[in-house]
Amino acid sequence: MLQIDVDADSCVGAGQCTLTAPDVFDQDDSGIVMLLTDDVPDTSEVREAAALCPARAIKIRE
Amino acid sequence: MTRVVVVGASVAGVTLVQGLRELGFAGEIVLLDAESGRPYQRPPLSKEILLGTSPERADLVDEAGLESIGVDFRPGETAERIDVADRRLLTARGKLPYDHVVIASGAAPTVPAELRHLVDDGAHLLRTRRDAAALAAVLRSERSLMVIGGGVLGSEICSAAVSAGLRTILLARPTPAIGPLHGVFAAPLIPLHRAHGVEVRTEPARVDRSAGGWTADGGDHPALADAVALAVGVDATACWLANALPTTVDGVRCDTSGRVAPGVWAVGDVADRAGGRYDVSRRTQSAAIAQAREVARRIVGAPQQRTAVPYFWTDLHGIRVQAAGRIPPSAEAHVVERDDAGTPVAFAAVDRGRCVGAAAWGSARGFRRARAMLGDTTIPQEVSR
Ligand SMILES: Cc1cc2nc3c(=O)[nH]c(=O)nc-3n(C[C@H](O)[C@H](O)[C@H](O)COP(=O)(O)OP(=O)(O)OC[C@H]3O[C@@H](n4cnc5c(N)ncnc54)[C@H](O)[C@@H]3O)c2cc1C
Ligand code: SF4
Repeated sequence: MLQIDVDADSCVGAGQCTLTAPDVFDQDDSGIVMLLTDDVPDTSEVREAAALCPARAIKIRE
Repeated sequence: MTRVVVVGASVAGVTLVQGLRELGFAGEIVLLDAESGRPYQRPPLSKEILLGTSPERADLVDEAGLESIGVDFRPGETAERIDVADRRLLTARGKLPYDHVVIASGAAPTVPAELRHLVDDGAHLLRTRRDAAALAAVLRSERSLMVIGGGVLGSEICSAAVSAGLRTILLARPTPAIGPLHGVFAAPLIPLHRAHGVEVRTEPARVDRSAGGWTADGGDHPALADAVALAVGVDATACWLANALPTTVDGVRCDTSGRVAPGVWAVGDVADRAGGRYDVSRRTQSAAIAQAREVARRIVGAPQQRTAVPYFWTDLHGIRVQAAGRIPPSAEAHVVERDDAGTPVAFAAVDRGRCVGAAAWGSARGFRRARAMLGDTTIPQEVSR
């Protein structure tokens, strides 16, 4: 499992996370990121989603 | 031991270095930057930081973070030349051999010869942390600002100046264009500025420093302002490579995955990628990140991931402007969403019968609808040109 922090204040609603790891990330009506689960699997998609966020709003705590 | 040298410690360079370690790269990493100080990203410089809030938002990684990823970070060390055949860089401090070098030297503001006098007289440019601090001081202490250039950066500066309470004059081209948006896709730009009190002038004007501040001629009456900011585009910082590699103001040429020559890679604003000209993300933070991830994988020989859809965003007067995909000059705008007043706020970009891009002005819903159409060949919508 991964420890993930999402910073809704920094999120710009790019949706790169939702496109890359749709099982873990979603966006609310104004486009802001939401975590769909507390048990985030350590997969390459999730790591890629966190890395691709242009606002660097998704942090993985190692 | 394999040594990777990265030139430029902004978002592209730092993402690359983090990506290498995440992929298990165990060799040596040297990260150079001409600027001193810790690595930072630029988007907040024209937003929160101009308004004096959240200065920490620009930080990319601190010293402890760099140490934990095991990087020899050398702020203040400029790469001066590259020797491709012998695989070494010449820096201000000496020779630096490499197995792979990643060029991440970014871009810097364009100053056309006919506007040089403005910079000499104290007009502001905005690229670095220091530039942002200087312009933030203007927003705190002056009453009016003239902005030259209505692109992303000029528009963001106007937006910040208006919210800081300054009388704001924008000198822009008559045909609006902002980032990847042009024509119909950019049509909301000037009305948006005007609705928020920006005085937009589109006739050609000469700007000069005068006794009481700055003046722009043209129009019915000259425009006056206490300070001037110049934001008419950027040129790649590639001149230091020109002795050895094909470079232009667009940057250093590389293939579709960032390779320039054996052992030489380019990422971010300095990378002139084959086929990338109309990506909405060209010269944005998103492209810098995606390219850095991709090149890190190529250096270690890891399999590529599905590439991310190009993405662009800016914030103007509290409105989020977004785009995805590609918007070539020939693309038609199909209106996907209108606001209550009937004004188009979201568009699909249709090129040769296929939806290749999406754009929206202040409509998260419209943006998602338009983006969901990417790749579609039947676009059931009103068409405007
Ligand atoms: C004020 C501002 C606001 C922006 N806002 C947004 C936004 O909202 N959204 C968005 O997507 N994009 C935005 N951008 C664009 C985005 O910041 C750039 O696309 C991104 O910074 C490119 O990253 P980079 O690492 O390729 O290059 P750069 O950020 O330009 O960094 C290059 C680094 O290389 C160093 N360097 C250059 N030459 C040498 C050398 N010879 N030797 C050693 N070091 C060298 C420089 O000092 C610099 O630190 C903005 C840009 C600015 C200036
Ligand atoms: S990728 Fe980042 S900015 Fe985009 S929706 Fe996800 S968290 Fe927000």
